Amino acid sequence: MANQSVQDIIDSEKVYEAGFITDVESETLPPGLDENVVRHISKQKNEPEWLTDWRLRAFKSWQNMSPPAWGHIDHPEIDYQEISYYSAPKSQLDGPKSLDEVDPELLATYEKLGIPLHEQAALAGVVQDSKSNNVAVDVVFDSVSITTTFKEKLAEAGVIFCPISEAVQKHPELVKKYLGKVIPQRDNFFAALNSAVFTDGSFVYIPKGVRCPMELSTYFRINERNTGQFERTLIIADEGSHVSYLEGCTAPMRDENQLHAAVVELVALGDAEIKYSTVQNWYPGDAEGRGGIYNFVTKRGLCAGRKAKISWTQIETGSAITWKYPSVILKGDESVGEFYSVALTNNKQQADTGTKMIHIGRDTKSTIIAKGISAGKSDSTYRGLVRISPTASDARNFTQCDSLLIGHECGAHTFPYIESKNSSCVVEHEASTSKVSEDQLFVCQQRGIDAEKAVSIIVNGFCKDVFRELPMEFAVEAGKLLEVSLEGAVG
Amino acid sequence: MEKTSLILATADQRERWKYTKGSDILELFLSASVKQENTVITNAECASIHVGDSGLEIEKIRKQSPIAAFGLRKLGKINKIQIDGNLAEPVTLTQRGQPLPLLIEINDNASCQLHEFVDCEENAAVMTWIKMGENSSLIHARNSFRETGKHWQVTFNELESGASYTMHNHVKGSDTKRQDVLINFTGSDSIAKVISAGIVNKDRKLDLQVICDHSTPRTTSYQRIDHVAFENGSTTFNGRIHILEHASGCNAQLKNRSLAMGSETTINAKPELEIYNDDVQCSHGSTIGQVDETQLFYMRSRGIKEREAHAILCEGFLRETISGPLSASAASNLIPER
Amino acid sequence: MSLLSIDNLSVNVETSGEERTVLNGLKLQINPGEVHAIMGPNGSGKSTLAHVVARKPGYSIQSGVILLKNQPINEMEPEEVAQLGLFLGFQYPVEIPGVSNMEFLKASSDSVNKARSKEPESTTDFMKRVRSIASSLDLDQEFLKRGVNEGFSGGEKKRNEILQMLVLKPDLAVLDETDSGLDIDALKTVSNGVNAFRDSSNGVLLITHYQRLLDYVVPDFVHVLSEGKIIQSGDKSLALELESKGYAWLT
Repeated sequence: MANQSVQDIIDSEKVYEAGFITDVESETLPPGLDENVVRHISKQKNEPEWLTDWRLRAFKSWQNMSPPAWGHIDHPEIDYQEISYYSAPKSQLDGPKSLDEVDPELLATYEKLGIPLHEQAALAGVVQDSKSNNVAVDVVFDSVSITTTFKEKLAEAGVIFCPISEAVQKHPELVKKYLGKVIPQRDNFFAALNSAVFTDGSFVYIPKGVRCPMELSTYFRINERNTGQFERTLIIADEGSHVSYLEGCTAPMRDENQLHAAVVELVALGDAEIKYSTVQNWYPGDAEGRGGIYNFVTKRGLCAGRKAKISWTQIETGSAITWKYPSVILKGDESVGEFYSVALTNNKQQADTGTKMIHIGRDTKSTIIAKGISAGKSDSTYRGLVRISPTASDARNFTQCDSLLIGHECGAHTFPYIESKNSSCVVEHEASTSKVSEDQLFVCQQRGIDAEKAVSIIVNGFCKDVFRELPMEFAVEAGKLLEVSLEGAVG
Repeated sequence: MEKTSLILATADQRERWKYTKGSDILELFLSASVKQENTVITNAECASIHVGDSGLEIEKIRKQSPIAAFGLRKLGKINKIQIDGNLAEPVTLTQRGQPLPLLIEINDNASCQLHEFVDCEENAAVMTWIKMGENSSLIHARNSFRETGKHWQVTFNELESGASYTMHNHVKGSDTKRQDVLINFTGSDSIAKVISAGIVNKDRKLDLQVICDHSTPRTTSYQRIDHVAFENGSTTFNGRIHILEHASGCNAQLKNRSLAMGSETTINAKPELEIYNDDVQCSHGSTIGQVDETQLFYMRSRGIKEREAHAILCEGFLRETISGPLSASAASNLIPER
Repeated sequence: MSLLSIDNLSVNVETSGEERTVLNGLKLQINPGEVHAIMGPNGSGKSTLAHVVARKPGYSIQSGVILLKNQPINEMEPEEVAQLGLFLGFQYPVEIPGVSNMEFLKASSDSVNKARSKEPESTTDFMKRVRSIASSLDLDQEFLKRGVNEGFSGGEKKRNEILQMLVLKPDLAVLDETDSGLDIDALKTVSNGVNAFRDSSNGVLLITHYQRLLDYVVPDFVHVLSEGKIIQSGDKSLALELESKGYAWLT
């Protein structure tokens, strides 16, 4: 073990735990995208006409747009007509009234994934342990939300947490007011696509002054062959409210690449705070770069009111290709935007990720801490924009981007764009690149720690500024995820 | 004339010309009246030759800078200077009007100083290729203080093994002023340093782009760039560090500071890292800010008037990068009056 | 004419969006030839007093007037107060790389002379004078060429403050915890500097946490500041009592 070099470790294969497929009957549309598909999706969900029209407008825009070409990403062209845009496990057509009505195979899937649906079971039948974490889970399985837990407890606080398809029916005025306001349909190619064909996702509304009594969470799965997943999430925190939202994802092994083009919109009104955390573990493709998920996501938060705050925390270890820039528009005076990220790439993964902080109001502040870890033949890019508009007096930004390279065949890149049009701002940006040194490894090994564990410890230390920002439920999972992802990835 | 969009064909090139209009620069090659006397050279022999005979690889240049390739084609001829041995006297270059491109070949083990005064009265594009032989050394001081007209100064440097290049660049913004420094380490163990102090006065612009391509092992680059923007001035800095796959043991550092001294300034900064090898030491830092409040109060508490304190602190800021053999004239041109 | 006269001074400071009162009806008078010491627990407002008198931004005077040499300074700019004759020795002197110590001193000296309609000192005379003072404070001549406080140890920074005081010759020197962080030798050097400065026409206000400094710079008056106002005044023996009994004895 002592002689095992970093290179040796990287050569061993990583095993993807969540790589398995559920055999469930599913109603899937044939591949292809045209106006009829859009109408079909809308009809399946019983949507009101205004929403069908909204989708159609987005579809028309999409037809006139082309995918962005400027990412530091190399991938074969995606044929959007070869993808099916809707898949729902059959037994869900009527919607479950309770967990008992859910397909047992589905539940078994979630068991395997370790999703804490059992927490609901505890509430339903067993004496509640006051120390157990209160996490409400909205589970999405291939386009349709299966069940939403803890509805009653949230209802007491006035918090609305439900699938967006349900929100369209029950709270149309809220959906209409905010949908597409943070990310307009025409914002980019994938946002337009999503706006046309989005199937489901979470809707959250926190009323004025309410601190959401529990962390809200959603799990995703992409199951069917050739199905793209287009979830749409909308979170609204009214004045003075506070919510923490966790998004975790896994996906099964597939040979063909699968597309994931989600849209997440956050709106924080005056004095409100939204904390959005993602631990993402999509299937990354095998060592040769085959299979894997294409993850093209548009995420944006709007600090609409004074002293609003939005934080994005993400741990990305999966996906064949990742293209996402969770951003914050700092419109309200004294608003705060934060972005904490760890992006790990291995084998032939490619990640082009980062953030945009747009300062518009006075006395706004943004903090960006991005850690990239590249191994194998992968390529990880941080792309960030800090834009200070002429109106943003006394804006403050601090950015720290660090890259850790493991091996001679990977790449780590940093492309920050700083554009200031206001003379009173202070912007500080630092970036550094380093590697796991043989010296550091040897010290650990000399103290009896095996090489793989040593690398894991060193990488954990490298990421600690970001892990610190994660809600406790996820911090442990993130650490473990990194360890699994690094198994054989080191080098 | 070919459209700018055809010349700046790649996304990368369009990005590089985001803050300065490429078409403004292309026009320089069309409207200029080029005369050999526009470059006055002392202490070195210079001969003008056809671009085709110069040994410059046009295709390679087109990839690095399509606008420079365009310029070379249009102008057709190039001035060539060959440096051998250790020159005791500095070679001086004074550029007036639209000059011919210049190729400077520095032989193995040669060393010299180059003092360059870019003083073109009208719009002008100054293109320079510097090829440095093994273990050669060059100290290149360049002052470019014209504040009217559209100007482009591009320097392509190739460093063979063991070569050492230091550039002391002092510049004032103009209606358009674009400076490109492209450094390629063709031989290992070579070192390049670019130290630049620049100011932009009212309504002036400055766009400085430095690219360091580390294609060989154990090469070192150091970029230290400071800008001061006064009222309505606009400054852009793009500093790129590129470490290619087989370039192990490289060390690349970049530090950039921009000081906003007036209102309504525009400051853009883009320090880039593109790294394909893990055996590297790279870091960069870029800050934008104003005069430090604590330092300001310290000076005022000693009786120094606020305006004067600002000027002293601005001078202190600039003095960290005003350097090299032409620093005295740089100081008198760049440092604002109290 | 008193050098410093403060009557019923109340001052608020804003931190994290909230205003709080730091000085609450403070009264103090310093006459020419006097050395006063102000002591008090942390948070009592000692540094605030120094900053307010020097007109540092960020403090709002709610009530009371501060007279320096009989002139009200409540509305003055920091440089105006300095030109009038006030010197503030900072607790944490800031570094200013790129601006040399000598250049900074000359700019300051020239500004003060100009405000008093005096001719500026010639550079040669000035530099000679500065070097001699530096020497008396054990500061290496080389430092004059370096940036202000650049790379200085804590002790060197404090000695640099005293150097500036001796070069500028103010009427009132307010020294904010000039003794903190000093070893015994540095303390003696600094004290010698202060003692060399004091005469029958100027005044010194020492803000200090520890009695130790007052063994070397013997004060005429000692005041105890607590919760924004002076609660007890006495002579140098008060300082000794405080040292043995602690602040709790009084508050």
